[in-house]
Amino acid sequence: MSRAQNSSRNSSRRHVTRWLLLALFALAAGFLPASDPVPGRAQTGPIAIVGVTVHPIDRDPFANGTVLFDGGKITAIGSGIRLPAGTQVIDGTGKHLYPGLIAPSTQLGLIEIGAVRATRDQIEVGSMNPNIRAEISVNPDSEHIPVARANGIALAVTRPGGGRISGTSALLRLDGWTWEDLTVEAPLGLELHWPYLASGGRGRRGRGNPEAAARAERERDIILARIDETFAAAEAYVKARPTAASGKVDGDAPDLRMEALRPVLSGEIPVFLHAEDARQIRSSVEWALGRHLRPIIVGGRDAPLVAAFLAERNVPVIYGPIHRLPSRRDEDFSAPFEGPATLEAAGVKFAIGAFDTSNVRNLPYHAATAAAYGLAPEAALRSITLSAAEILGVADRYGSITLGKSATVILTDGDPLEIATQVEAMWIDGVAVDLNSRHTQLYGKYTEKLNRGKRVGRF
Amino acid sequence: MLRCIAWSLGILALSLALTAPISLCAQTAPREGIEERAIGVHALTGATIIVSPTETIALGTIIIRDGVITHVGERVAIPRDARVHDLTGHTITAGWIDLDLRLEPTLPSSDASREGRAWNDRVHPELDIASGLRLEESVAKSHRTSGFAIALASPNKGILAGQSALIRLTGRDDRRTTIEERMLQVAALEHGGWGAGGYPGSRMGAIALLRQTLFDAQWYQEAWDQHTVAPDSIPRPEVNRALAALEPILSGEQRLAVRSRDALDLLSLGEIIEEFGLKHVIAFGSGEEQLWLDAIADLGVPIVLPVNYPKTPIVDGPGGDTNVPLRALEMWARAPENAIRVHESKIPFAFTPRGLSKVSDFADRIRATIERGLTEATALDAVTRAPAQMLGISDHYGLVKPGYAATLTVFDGTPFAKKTKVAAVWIDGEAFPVDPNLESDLRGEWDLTLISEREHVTVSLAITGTEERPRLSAKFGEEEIRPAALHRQGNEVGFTIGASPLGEEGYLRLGGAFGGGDTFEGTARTPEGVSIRFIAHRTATASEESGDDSESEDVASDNSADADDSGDESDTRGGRGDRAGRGRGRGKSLSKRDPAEVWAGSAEEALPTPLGARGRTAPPAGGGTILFTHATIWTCAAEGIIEDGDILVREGKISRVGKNLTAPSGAQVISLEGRHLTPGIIDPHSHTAIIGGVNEGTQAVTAEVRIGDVVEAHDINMYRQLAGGVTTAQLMHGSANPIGGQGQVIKMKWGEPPSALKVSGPKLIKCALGENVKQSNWDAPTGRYPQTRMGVEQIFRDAFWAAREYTADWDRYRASDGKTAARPRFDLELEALAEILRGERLIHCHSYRQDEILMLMRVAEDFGFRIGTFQHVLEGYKIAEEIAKHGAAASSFSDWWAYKFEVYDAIPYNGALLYRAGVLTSFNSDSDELARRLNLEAAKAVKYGGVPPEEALKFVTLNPAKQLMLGDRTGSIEVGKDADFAIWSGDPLSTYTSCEETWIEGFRYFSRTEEAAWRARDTARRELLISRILEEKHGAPSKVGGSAPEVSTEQKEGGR
Repeated sequence: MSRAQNSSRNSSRRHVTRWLLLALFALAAGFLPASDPVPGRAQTGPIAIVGVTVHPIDRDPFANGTVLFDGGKITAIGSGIRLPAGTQVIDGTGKHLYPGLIAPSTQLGLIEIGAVRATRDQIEVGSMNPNIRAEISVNPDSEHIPVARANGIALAVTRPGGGRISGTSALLRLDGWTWEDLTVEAPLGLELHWPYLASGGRGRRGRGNPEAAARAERERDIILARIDETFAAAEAYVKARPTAASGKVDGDAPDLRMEALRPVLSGEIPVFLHAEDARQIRSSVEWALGRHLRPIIVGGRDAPLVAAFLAERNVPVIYGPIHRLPSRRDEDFSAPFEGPATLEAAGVKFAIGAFDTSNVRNLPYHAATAAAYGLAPEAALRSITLSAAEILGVADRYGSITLGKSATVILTDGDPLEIATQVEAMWIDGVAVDLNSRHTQLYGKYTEKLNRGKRVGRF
Repeated sequence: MLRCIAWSLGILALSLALTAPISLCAQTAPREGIEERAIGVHALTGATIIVSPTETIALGTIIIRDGVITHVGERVAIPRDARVHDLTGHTITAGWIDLDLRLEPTLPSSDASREGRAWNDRVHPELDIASGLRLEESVAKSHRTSGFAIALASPNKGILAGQSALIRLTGRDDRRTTIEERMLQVAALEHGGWGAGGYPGSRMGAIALLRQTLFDAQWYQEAWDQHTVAPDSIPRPEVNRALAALEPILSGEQRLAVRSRDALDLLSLGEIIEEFGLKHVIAFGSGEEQLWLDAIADLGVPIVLPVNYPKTPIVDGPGGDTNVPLRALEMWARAPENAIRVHESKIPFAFTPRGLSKVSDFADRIRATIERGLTEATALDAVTRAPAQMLGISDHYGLVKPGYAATLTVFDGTPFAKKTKVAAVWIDGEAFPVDPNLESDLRGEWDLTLISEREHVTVSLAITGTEERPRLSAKFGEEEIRPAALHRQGNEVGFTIGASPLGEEGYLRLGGAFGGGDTFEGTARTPEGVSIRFIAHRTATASEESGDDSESEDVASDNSADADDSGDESDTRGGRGDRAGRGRGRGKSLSKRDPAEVWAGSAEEALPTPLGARGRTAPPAGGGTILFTHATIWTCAAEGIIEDGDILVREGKISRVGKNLTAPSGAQVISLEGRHLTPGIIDPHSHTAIIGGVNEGTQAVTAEVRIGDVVEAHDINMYRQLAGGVTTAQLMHGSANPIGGQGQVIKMKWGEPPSALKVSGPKLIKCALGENVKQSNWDAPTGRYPQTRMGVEQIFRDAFWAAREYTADWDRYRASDGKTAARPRFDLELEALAEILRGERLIHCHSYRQDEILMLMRVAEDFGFRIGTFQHVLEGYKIAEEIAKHGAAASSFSDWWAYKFEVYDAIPYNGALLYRAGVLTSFNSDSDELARRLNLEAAKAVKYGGVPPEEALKFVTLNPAKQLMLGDRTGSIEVGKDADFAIWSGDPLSTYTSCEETWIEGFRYFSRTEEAAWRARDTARRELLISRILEEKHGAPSKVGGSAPEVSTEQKEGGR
């Protein structure tokens, strides 16, 4: 039972205030707090959104369109489409329909409150943990999930952190009862943190200090050797045991770490190479390609500096956050803002990440800032929808409003990259999703307090 | 008059009586052995005498009698009793003076009684370095080797470090090191780090403690005076020797030296000097004075300049240069020019070798500065006459004149020239030959004869290498002897060679003293342990060295320099120690240009302020009368949004706002066609541009510390925030303690010194509640009270009671005649708290949960004042009406939440709900990054809760201005207000909009076009400095057609 309900029930003036309350809620933000958001019901009949401006992403937007979906899939898209009998029709006049946004790097479900250790599940002990699986630890009742959803994020990658090989990440749909419901793809990719290579160590004191540089180089070489050795050992293991251990518990005991690397070595899943510095990016990419892996740069602060290198090798980048400080004193104040425009111009495939969990809801505004500093607005939008789906390997199902793809869409009153825009409705795989959250609930509860205080609002 | 121990506290009374020779000085210790009665009369002949920096005798004689110079001149009769020293080819200057020799004092142990001492371990002005002075011979010798004869020794630690003494650098433990004690007191802004070393833990804490101690010293004097006059009614004050020791500083009877670690340290100390009207101050500089030269010149304080120039940054090798900022390159490039700029600004200065890892590098560093344009005479002045004047001993030291102390430095050539070395220093008439091997170039061919009883065996030695690092090879007949090693220590030379010439197995170890010339004698020990005599004759002298040797040695010496440098004091500036290759012979293969040629004109260039990327070399555009036209103006005032509006700015103020304004004659007209203009963004919660710690977290209540004391002006984040339209910010103390420090409002006047950034007027103070002050999220809480929200409340009540008592004490004192009520201490902490109670100083309180917010309002109401602004206030929405009723304002994050437990209920609707309740609401950044886009934070108030756009913009303009007590000066586009505004490419609440220009008080401090020009300028400057480093290291690159030095692609890409 929610707090809002509770307080309402305990109120002696419940009946008197109910209508006023409802009216105010509706007025304030167009929501009606009932309970903790309940996962939506599976689609049971066709739904059509009509009269809406459709932004399919894979082609130009068009006004007064219809999008019809059934069984979780888009079955028709266009104008003047004949709707099957029993279609639930939603009037989208004056509104806009976009594919659900995709957050390509978060820790949703793994961490709840940063400062409270008991609520953190994102870092396992040890530096080589390929067998760690993000999805099995995702808390479907994390308050962060509805908060992210409220701004249009429909899909998100959640990843383990820490160490060098942190484990495998998973792509989540942000609605469901269990982690199994939530999981779209797992393992999605191996999360590998490449060591920092710049000489002179980190920080103000380290730079230009030859001793620190030498020490850092020694440590780095040890780490690099360990990473490579892990993969060499895995190759030997795969050669010796060509058949993957089945999920069933029988036969010889497998090496859990080595088994986890099997799909990475085969190229079935990519390696998410966390690398920021130019040298880190280059060396990690060269290493991964040398081992015939599928590298995707994550973070990629200096990716714009080595854009040609990445383009030549066809290595995609999950770039971000955009909202960060330049890493070097001499850099342009706008360097992180301009990164995506540089990548786009160089022909590098990229998605934009917010690299945040509690505020991944701001992902569209990261993309917008890139647009304010040189990236075409369409490219900015693509970077958090279709490009992300392509890089994550799910573009056959997600990322655009395309016939046959999943009906994962958001209905808005404007451009989702503008802050003032409201996301009014969301469907994930055809399922209508509740856009309420802890935040709207508390808003409702304390709007009630304010109203009972009979204090007249200023507007 | 003879005075071995001068008990003269006052410098004004100081007449340093020059004395009879040291040996005649009465000794209190019982005599041991036979008294030395050496001749005290000397004639130094045949030398060039630099009498003063401006007067030279090409060939002259100096007569010394009993420690004092009696005659100096070209034709001087040599007394019959004089010992004559032929110094043909030598140059004599006054003995060099180091004013900044820091010695380890003997401090009371940590468990020693506090009786008579200051409460704080860093305050020990009563400490006297002369008592138990320990000057290691190694320290004295390295100083003498570099030309220094006397020094001012001061205790090396403490905020008030203690008394320093003028000492002779004899290095002898003969109770005659001290010339004059209590020459001056030393103050420094010393502090521990975060959570270490107790109070103070920050630079602002050190400043507060220094000020408080000086106030206490004033009080102490008066308290005793009062008690003496009215012993019956005024209680006897405590006995505090520390405070007593400061009286001569306050009265101007004693000199004060202030130590600075950087330019801003010195500016902070300057403010204290001014505040207390301190006289006779000298400064121990940092070498960074040129960074804020004008402000430092205004202090009118002579400065002792160190020459520990930063180490050459690493720009090549595997790392590349991408991470070396232009500022670090500039620090390296400009360091040798510091003294020149200081001199040009007419600031008296002296040089000190302090901070050099090797004092012997001193002359090299001075030469680097001479190469940039300092005259040799000025350089010499800075180690002789200038320091003597600073110390008030210029009647006796600093010149070579009759009546002056026979304290001299003798060089074997021209001082500061590349190969010149110090031959001897004379200290009060006694010669200290510095390095007997100065003329002992061992190199050449030698015949060494071993003289045993049985036979004479002659071995041929060849000594090669450099003069300082000779190498030995030995032959017996045609046969090479191995090993063959040479060791030297001063004039002691030792060889180790194989014993084969004697027909023995093992080693011969030879040792002897070498006094120059071509013979060398000593003793050899055979493998059997027999000592035999040897004598060696030089048969040929060495020719100049080949390049190969010096090249390979450079590798070795660079390594050793690195190791030595680990203790170098210039550490904090990123680069340290040795300038690559300076003063060392490089291989002939390197074609190196003369540094004076490379850096020609550099010292005359105006330095960008601040130094480094995006520094300003010209005043900002603007000023005067400017009409801005055709903008969409968000006035944040009654006019609302004016489409196609105009603003007239006169002398930094908004003079008219409207449509179709006509330009007064002479006005500049700037058309803003299609752009939006808003008031400058105001960030009411920032930690940008603070130096030396944001928290004084060592105590629960530190109301005495002031962020205004530690504003720096080179934080690049200021510039980055200008690029987001920010014009004004409150720099705040951190949230480590319930009552933190006083905030400082600044305007982002990039390029101007700290004092120009500060906005005077607003009196603010940071307080904090919740998890931070109770140390909830610390790995190891200190146990400092409070550890609960309950304790936090009590801290506030207790502090405010103390302030009430304090106010009452002062009222009682002021109402009395001075005989019935004791004068209270002037307490900086309680002064600030009393200002809060009086409503003059507004609390800005870090807060999250509704319970704690309510608590503080109730405490304030009990004491009769109002809270100014609740900062963060993320649960403010839960008690919005209560806040409105109390009358506090609120400054929130737009949407941060869940980073700790107390923000789990934070919602982005907070701002809207507070606003709706009638609370004056703003959004802030608390982040250098978020501060760059506060306009978009305002847009979140529109999104979450539907605040109208114009009202939302006020969340980051007018509302914070009011919260910072500046509502009548800035924050809106209204006539009479400061012309602080930002110009945007479009709607300021749109994510697609970017800031194009930022204006403060009618001057343009940021523009995208200027940014582009500066970007190009900085890139070019970077490349130039990097090429100079590479040239210094590797020599000039070959001409086109030859092989150019390889530049990796990384550097090209990184130099963007």
